[in-house]
Amino acid sequence: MSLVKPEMKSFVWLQTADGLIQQVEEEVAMFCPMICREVIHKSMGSSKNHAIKLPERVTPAVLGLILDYCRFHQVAGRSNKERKTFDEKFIRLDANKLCDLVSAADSLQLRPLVDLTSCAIARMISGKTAEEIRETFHIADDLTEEEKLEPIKIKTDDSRVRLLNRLYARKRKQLKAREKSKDVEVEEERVEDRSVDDLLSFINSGDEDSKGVKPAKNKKRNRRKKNLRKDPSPNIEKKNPSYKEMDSLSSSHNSEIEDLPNQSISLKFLGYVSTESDFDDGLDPALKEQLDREVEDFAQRLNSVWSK
Amino acid sequence: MGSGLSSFLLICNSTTTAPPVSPEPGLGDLPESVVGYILLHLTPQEICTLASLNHAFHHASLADFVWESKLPKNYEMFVSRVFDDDKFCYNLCKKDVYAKLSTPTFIDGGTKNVWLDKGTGKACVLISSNGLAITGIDDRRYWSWISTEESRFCSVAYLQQIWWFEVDGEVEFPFPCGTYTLYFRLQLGRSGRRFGRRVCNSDHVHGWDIKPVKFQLSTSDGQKAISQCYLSTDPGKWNLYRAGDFVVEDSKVPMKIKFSMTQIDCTHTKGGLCVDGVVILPK
Repeated sequence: MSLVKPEMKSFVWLQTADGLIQQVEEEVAMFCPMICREVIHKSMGSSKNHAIKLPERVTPAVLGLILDYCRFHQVAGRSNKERKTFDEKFIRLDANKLCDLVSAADSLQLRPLVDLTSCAIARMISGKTAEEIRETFHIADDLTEEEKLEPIKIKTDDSRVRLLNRLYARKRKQLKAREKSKDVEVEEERVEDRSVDDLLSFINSGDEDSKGVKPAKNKKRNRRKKNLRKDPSPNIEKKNPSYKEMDSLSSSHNSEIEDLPNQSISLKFLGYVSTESDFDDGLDPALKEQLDREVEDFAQRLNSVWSK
Repeated sequence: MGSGLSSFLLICNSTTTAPPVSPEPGLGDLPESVVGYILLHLTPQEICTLASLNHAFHHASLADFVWESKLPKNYEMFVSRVFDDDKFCYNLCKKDVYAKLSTPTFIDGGTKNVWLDKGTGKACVLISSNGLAITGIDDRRYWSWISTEESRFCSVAYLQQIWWFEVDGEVEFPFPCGTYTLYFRLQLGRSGRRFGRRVCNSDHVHGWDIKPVKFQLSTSDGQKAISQCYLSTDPGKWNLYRAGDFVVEDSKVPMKIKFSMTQIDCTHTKGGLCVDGVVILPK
């Protein structure tokens, strides 16, 4: 057993997620609550073999930064001004490093550093729209359609909230119907003078179109589908350019199937909204029409505001 | 020993079973709890905008600890003052509490309208002329009530003419800490709608340019403010006339405020004024 000289500092052994083990001055490492707990309660970190396993989010590079922070702040004698100046210089990092740092600091439960870095990140993203942030930071939009159309549950008398909820409810129905028709199309064995493959490819190409589409266009499509349903001959004056392609496809399709007796079923293929679901509400159609008009109006107004 | 150590480290390095991390982990990979800390530093409007960013942001924006920091410290007092049934508070998440408090609510029998300012979390109070003590309000020679859609309270007090003009009021409310300004909302002339157009009748407007109107404000903890000004001779426009500021330091005690607007020089009459009420807004 080697003698430990009294004036030598004691060290703590830390192991990062990639397996790298390093030793750090005890007083610096103990500034982190998580490490402190491991040392005191579990007596870990006293030797290489019992190195404290740091959480996954702490990479060696980030650990270096965190230890710099701890090394500075654990010294008791520093004034507040000195600490502030150090902090301001410390957070002059790019966004990705800051994100790594805040993640790691959170897993080590180092709250002052978490506050400092999250404030810096907040300053970076403040004032930007969601789209701008997605572009700048390359964030994938992983919210499902259903989540985006969650109704607003707060009970207020605000008519805007009511209309918005109705709009969302309609879109959710459309979404469900679209899902259903995707399943149904394979099972449908009735009439077709076209092969199932042709229809599938038509519907799939239509689907790709719709995924990138904003709510306003969905609504216009719905209106178009309604018109299709009521009046089989194609309605051509749609202002939306991205649907010109669909219009021509559907019109050609229409002309071919005009003679078929079960036109409505083929139209069901064309439109992604099943005819039944619209009348499910138990509301009489006239009132439904009025509500739908209100909702469309509102959605249009919304979009003109959002586009500013 | 040295070689053993380095080979040991090599082994450690080669047996990494950590899941493959994308080369540049960034904002999109932060866990929900960390995102919550970031949202603490943003305004409520920004939080709502960012809720549509991605999954983590969406869930973090619903977190109670984020919204609790946005609510005023005395929000429980606020809730019990504004809503009779404060049980709703326990069923709602803090975000919904904030949303509910931010929508204007009528209290005290419809004479006051209160809400939290969305950006700062401070209280805003509107007191209708119904809730003010107006000298001579019952005398039809001087004052009358006209209903109008230009006021949140649907009716305003209209002065034809009077010698002693005095409007007093007081309010007791648990204001959150901060600085607030009190205004009187007034309009010279009587506006109405004729054939779908807004018209203003300024036949009775007189006497405001002779002497200024005096505004006074005092609080239960001793703050006072006095100011004087001439009412703007721009008829048909609603103006906010500033009476003064007051500071709320202790939000645990509801602040009691007395205010008044007077023009009591009885050598001349004045008239043609619409009084909507008093507005208290955070500075």
